[in-house]
Amino acid sequence: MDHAYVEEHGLIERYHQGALPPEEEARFEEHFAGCAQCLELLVLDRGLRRGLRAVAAEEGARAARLGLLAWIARRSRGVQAGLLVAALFVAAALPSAFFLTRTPPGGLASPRGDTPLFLLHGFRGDPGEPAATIDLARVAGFLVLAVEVDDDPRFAGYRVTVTGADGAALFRQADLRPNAFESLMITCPAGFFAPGDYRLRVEGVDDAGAGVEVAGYPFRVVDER
Amino acid sequence: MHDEHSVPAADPDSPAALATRIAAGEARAEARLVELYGRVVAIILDRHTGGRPEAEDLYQETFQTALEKLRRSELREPAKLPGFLARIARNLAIEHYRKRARRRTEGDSGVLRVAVARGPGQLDVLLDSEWAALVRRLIEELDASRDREILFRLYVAEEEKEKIAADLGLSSLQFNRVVHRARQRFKTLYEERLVAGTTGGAMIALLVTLCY
Repeated sequence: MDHAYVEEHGLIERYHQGALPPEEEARFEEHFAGCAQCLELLVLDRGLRRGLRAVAAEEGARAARLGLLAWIARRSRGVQAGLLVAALFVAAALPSAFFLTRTPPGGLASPRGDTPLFLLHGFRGDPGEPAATIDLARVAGFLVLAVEVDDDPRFAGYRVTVTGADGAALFRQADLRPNAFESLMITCPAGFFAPGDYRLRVEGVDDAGAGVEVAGYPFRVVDER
Repeated sequence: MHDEHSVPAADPDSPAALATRIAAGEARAEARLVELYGRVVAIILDRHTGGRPEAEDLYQETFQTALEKLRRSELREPAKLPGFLARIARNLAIEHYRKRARRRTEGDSGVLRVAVARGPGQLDVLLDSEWAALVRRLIEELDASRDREILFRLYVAEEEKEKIAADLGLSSLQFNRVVHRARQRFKTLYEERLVAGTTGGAMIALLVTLCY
């Protein structure tokens, strides 16, 4: 067994996965028992695997606290894997967004990797207290509001309206479609919101332009600096 | 650890010399056997037990069995000592689970035995936190979220690499390059930590030795 074969057939990772046929596994064990190079690769590969799992477990717990995992679980299977990875690293990025000093937005001329995502829970009717709270002290620059929406074939598109506590519309956008995450996501500069209560309304709009409220998403903005 | 093809015969720790010294009753050679091959045996048992606590007993049993055979000069080709140890570890683990499966099937007492897995030991927890620290640095350095996704799906979700590559529109070569780069960088980070001369460097070296 030579190292080109080990590399070419991915024996290191397949060994850890238990994916080698028994005969090949036995041959590989007898090889690496006397091969310092393969032994080192095995130790490192196992370390990488254990480290990634430890990180995923830590971030998974954080994502669960943020409600991201429950959200992912409701998505279709086709987008779950990608979402899970995305959510883990969104969750991983949140502390830097939360605890770094507040920086001015500076426009969206350059990419940002620390934008916090807020998942809003929908209600039909008046839920009383808002279910989601956004603390501006923990937002650097921009924030993303996300709401889950089924792509209902009855509607040609969706319309989103954000209203303040007095019911006045602050933002409205039509002709929206759910993205690959089966969600509508609205990016807002943090300075768009003053502390207070808000409601995001999603309406399905048919071909004739008639809108039907699908759900409302009340949220509260605070500034605890 | 020694490669049987590259170590000079005069090396007292070469596989052949070690086997011969044990057969001659040299107690120090027995201790060297465990020092040099403990990690090999631990990796094999970890693989076959899935990291379960019985790996500790099987580790002891592997060396006990090997030493008894070596003392009686039962290893016909002493240069093949590493493979000999690997076979013993593997066979003991396989036999352990065969016996357990038989016991469950026969159900002699009529009582279902429930194996209660202990949680990871404190050393394992410490080692995992060291690996996680290195992985966090690696993740920070990766250029693309795609590379993170590949690592996560390959190592955590244990998806087939062909499927991951197909999902991401990558050729097998491109996929292997991403994984290879990540591994190389992880190795560098590990080595940097080892040679940094810090308490953390000494810690991870010790933990790797103790846990493998």
